[in-house]
Amino acid sequence: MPLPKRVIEPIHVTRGTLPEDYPLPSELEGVTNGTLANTVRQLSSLSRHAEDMFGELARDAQQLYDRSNSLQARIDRLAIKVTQLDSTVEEVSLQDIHMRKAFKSSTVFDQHDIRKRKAFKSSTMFDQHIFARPTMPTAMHETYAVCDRPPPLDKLNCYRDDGKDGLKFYTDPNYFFELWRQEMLIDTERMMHDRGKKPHKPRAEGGQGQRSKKKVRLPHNTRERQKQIAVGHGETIMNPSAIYRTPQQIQQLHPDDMMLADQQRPPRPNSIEIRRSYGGPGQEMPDGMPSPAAYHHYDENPYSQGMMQGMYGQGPLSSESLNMPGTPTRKIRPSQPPPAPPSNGSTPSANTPTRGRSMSTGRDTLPPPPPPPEAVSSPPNGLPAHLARQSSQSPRSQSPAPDPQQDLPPPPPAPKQQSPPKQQQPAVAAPPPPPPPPMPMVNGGGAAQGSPPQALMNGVMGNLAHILNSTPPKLTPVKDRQIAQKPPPMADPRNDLLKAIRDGIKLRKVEKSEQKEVERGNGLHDVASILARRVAVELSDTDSGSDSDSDNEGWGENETSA
Amino acid sequence: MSAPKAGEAVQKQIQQDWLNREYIEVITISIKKITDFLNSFDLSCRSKLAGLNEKLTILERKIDYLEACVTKGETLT
Repeated sequence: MPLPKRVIEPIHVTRGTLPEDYPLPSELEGVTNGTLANTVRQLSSLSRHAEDMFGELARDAQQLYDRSNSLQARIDRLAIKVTQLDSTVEEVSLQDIHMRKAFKSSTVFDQHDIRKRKAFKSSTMFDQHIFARPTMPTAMHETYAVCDRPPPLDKLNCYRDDGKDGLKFYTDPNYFFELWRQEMLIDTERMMHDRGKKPHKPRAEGGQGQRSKKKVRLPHNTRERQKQIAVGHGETIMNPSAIYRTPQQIQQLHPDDMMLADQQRPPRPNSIEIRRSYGGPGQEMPDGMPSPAAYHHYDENPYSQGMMQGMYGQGPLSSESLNMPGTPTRKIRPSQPPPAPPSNGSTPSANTPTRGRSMSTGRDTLPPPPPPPEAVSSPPNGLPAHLARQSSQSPRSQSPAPDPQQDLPPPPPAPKQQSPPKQQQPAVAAPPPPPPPPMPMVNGGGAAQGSPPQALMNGVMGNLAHILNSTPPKLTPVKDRQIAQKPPPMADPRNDLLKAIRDGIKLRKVEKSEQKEVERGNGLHDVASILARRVAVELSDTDSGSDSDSDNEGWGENETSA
Repeated sequence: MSAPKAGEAVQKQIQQDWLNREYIEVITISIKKITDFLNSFDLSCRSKLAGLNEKLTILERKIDYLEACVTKGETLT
């Protein structure tokens, strides 16, 4: 309903001008007098409105006059400055002036610095809330004052569950401003997303988290994605490829070793599984921990063998669990890759192990540790030649032993080799699906050997377990204790990496929500801030040089997060 | 006689009332004219003031730009 700005009262001049209870000698004269009186009232009302109108005009004219005066003064000062400019003095080219103007104006300390700042403020000032109560003319204020006030629906707010203002269902002066503000904020957010999430860059902490992610991701795109996915689902995918590839690497390294390796290959998975069984309680612990810790123990302590035996002491369980733990070990392995690097330092020399380690670097090291324990356990018990060699070598493990059998222990690291195949033998190992079939071939050497080797392995394991059991019980508990103690520290680095990755994603989300809140808070009632933010976003879009990288990252993040 | 006198008196009153109504009509029309003039005056003044305001804004921005340029040059030298 339109409201007239100015209403001249009384509107009906001649109505009600005749007093009812007072008899008049001449009613016509009475009506005429009353009409004239109302006309005079109209004139007074008109004069009042005219005064108000002229007052507004005079105020606006005065503002323009002041502005024009200040502008004239600035023009005069500017004219003086321009006349004082000396063309003989070296001056920056006009382009440079244009380029630097914006920055210098705010940074330069000059006589006119203050003036400049004011000027720029004025230029950046936006007229806000032009049609709001404060800017409403007094005449309209009076008209509004005459209007009926909205019903006090806000008094019912205490009975509302949704926390909304009941009065806003009746009237909401800020409705359209809120619409506009939300639209602008959404646009800015969308622009930022399209840009590649600039907000992340400025964040120092978030940037580190991203860096860690980037490092992990850059080496292997598809695999790392799979790893991340696997981390969520248990990493079952990673293990098969790792086991599968390990045999291939071994073959390439030493054909002679291959024979031994073939025998041991089936066991490798078993050993891994055993590890897993050990790790069962501590998932990541077994794979990553045993390798470095076991090597160190060999070197330092004569009990190291005992420790190893202790490891196998659990062996009986492991032999039983060989089949069972497979899944848990696989889960653990993916997490292991990071810790692997330390193991390399411990076992420098062995050809195959070194290769495997070099191949997988950190990751390969993890598998090797398990084999040494077998070797250790075997020597005391008088296990087969392979085992005996391994056992003899296992203590040497720190001193590099080129023995093929040592190579065998490294093969268990096969799961770790998953990473190496990518680097060194991408072509051979490239097709993950094909590898599984080769595995049986390598393992069996013949068609049906796949099962027999496992049986042999189980038998060996069982022997080892018996031997271990026969070995003094003290050793086993000690090992267990040490292992139990060690695994947690080993697992920490891996966990940290995973945590860093996961936390990174979380951090982004949290930051987003915070940003939104901040934006909302800032943009609540300030049009200038919203516009300024949007302008800044647009400018930053144009400025951002590494759009491609940021975009890719953004997409990758989105995918991972999704 | 009284009847014609009374009829004359009423006729006089009606004529006087018409005169009064005509007088009031002139006054109210004058008030309307004043109102129309004030409205048109207010409208024209506001439009002119708005034009002046716009021109002043443009001039102020130009002066801002020129001042920034000139001061920039000075600071550089």
